Amino acid sequence: MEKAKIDGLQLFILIFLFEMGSAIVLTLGGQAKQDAWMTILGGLLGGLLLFLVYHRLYLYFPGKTLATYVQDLLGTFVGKVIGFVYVIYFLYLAARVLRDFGELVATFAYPDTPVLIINAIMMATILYALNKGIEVIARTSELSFVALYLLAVSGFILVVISGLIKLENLQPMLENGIRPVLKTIVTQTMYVPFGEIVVFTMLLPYLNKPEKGKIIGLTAITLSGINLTIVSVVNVAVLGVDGFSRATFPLLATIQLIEVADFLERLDIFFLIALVIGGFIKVSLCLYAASIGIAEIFRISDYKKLLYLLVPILIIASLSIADNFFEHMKEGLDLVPLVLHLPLQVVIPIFLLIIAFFKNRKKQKNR
Amino acid sequence: MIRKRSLLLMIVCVQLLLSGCWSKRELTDLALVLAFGIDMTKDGKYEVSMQIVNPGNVAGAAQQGGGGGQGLPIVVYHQKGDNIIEAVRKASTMISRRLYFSHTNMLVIGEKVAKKNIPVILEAIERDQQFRNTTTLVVAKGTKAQTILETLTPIDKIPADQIRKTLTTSESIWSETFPTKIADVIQQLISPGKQPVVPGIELDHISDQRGTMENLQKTRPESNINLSGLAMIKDGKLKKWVYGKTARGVTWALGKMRATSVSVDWGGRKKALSYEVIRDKTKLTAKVKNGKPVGSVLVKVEGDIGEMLVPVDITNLRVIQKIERQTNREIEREIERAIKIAQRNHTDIFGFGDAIHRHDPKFWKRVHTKWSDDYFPTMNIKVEVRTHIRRSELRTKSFLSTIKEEKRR
Repeated sequence: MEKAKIDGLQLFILIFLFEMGSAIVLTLGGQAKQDAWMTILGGLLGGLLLFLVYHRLYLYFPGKTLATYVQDLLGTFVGKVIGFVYVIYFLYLAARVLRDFGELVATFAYPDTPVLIINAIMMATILYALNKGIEVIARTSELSFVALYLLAVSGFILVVISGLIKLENLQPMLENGIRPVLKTIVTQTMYVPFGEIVVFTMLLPYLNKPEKGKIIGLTAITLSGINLTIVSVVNVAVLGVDGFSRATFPLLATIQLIEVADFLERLDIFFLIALVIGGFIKVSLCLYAASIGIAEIFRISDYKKLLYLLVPILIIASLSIADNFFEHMKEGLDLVPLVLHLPLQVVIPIFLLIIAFFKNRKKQKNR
Repeated sequence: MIRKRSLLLMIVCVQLLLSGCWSKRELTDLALVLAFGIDMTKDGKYEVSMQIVNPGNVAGAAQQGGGGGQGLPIVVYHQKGDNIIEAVRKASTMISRRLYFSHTNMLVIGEKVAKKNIPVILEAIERDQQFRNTTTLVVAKGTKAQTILETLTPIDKIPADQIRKTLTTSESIWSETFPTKIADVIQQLISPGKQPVVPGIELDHISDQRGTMENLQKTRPESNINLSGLAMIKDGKLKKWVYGKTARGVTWALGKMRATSVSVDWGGRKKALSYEVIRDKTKLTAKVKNGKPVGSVLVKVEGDIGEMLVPVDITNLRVIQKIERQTNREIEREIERAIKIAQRNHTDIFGFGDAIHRHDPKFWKRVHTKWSDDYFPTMNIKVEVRTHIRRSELRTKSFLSTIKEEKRR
């Protein structure tokens, strides 16, 4: 851990941007068709519960990160192994988001540029920012937050003014019953993006007022969840169910339809900015969590040295995790949630919490 | 020393990034395609035609006060191919610049292709990253798309603009037709509960001079591009054209009406009054009654009296109410005729199927495959129009009334 502190607002914004990150540009809950927005709200509830678990763990070990307290709980060796699994997981998350980013930019803005170059330039920026430490990332996010919100609000207003929203596209609600919605929640939206908040188990100790961590986390997750729900509602209302589920990037398709007063059109740049901000913050935080995790497990004093190793790994990993875009999406939506997200976001933290609970009680009894 | 060296290294590295974009394209290397046409040849190949702006000539014409530049404002290229992308790429053999589709705002489909298969054409266009899904889609009625694209137009120098402006202007004044976006058409091609309608354009007279300056050097152009009706599309194929009042009935029922004038019979004279529509609201609903779908169209209209050919005392409230009732009937008839034609052609362009889908998903699931052939044609649809006359422009009673009274005296 570096010696740094972030304040409440900064943590709030970091969580918010992290959650919005790549989720805002991808198709979330597409299997639930016109009820996609319900799956996001459901996922939000799941995410809030998960955050309470992570936060409880943090309260048992204030000032410590996941990679450290897992050693206290399970013994040094097992703890280090689990901690290392988490580090790899964070790196994988970073690689996924980076790939999302690269694919998006390559698809719609730079078709002739290799994804390698796009990703490498993004990583160069992130490397620079992370070298400056978490405080700099936090301050950058404050600026980005304002930019993103301005874009989101003006974009929303323009969509409404263009008369694109056809709310009847959202009907009939629950056409095939509640089952597909619940299934999508527990297989997808609960983990991506909400469960990914597990990365913040590495960041919560930096908060300067630990007692406020809970309320900040809950409100930030809720706000991002509501935003994602609105985006989803707008996408389906504008594109129709089929258009929504077929679009590679629904939000882009929606923004491209904006036409106001014959000159406010072709606002693709709105999408690109949201993408760059979201991708930057999310990759940075995942990579940061991974690097301080490694530093703690292997007792390396300065995590910054590790970055020069991790960044090239990340660039290569982002390209090699999938052969093509379809494989990448298939893995992300069908495979990874059950193989990686479920155990690492839900099972292990709850297990750790139970152990922590009993150990703590024993300690209190002994006293 | 090390500091200086690393600084130098950084400067060198930054140069690499500053050299510009990866795949930059200069404006002088681009050919801006303004309208894109698709036809089919006899052997089943696609023939694309691209209306490309000739920038020098358009700017030159503007400087001379619109007096017609040296050359033509546009040039049209054709190319054949087994699919659209192939044809477009192959077209590079005849054009010096790179084709650029981000500014294409008009897609014209020849009638023959439209009768064969519309969805196949739109696939490449929806997918393409340059092409916009807000592009207006029209069908070239009775001719090939390329015939229309070749035609020069008098007022707006660029024909693509002329067509697009005619569509939007006519929509806001007369509303027999309305522009349709590719995105909307695709949405409706997918849904079995609502079939698309696409406006048609035609040449009033197909003359060989249509692509030459001569076409513009007449007060009455040899060939002029006109809007002509709406094409009902069923299962991706052009099924039926509707024109005039029937087309307007479609516009009413779809809620696309912006403004128009309705002629109403009065005092024994046909179409004696002109009712000018200012705003209107259409509500289209459908539900299932006793296992059968029933639909209803409710239109609320506000407007003015714009003209009278016979003297009418419109200061009399009873007369106003009577005119309103007459107008209701007139508009209802237009809508009913449109619905009848749609039903006869088994093409649910109004979205009654979608309305049923929203209202009773279970029933819809059972019938959606046979909706347009078994259920929609026999569906009972109630049409109701509620007109309100708000004002009568700058006069109350007409001077025709005064003349009549003077005579009687």
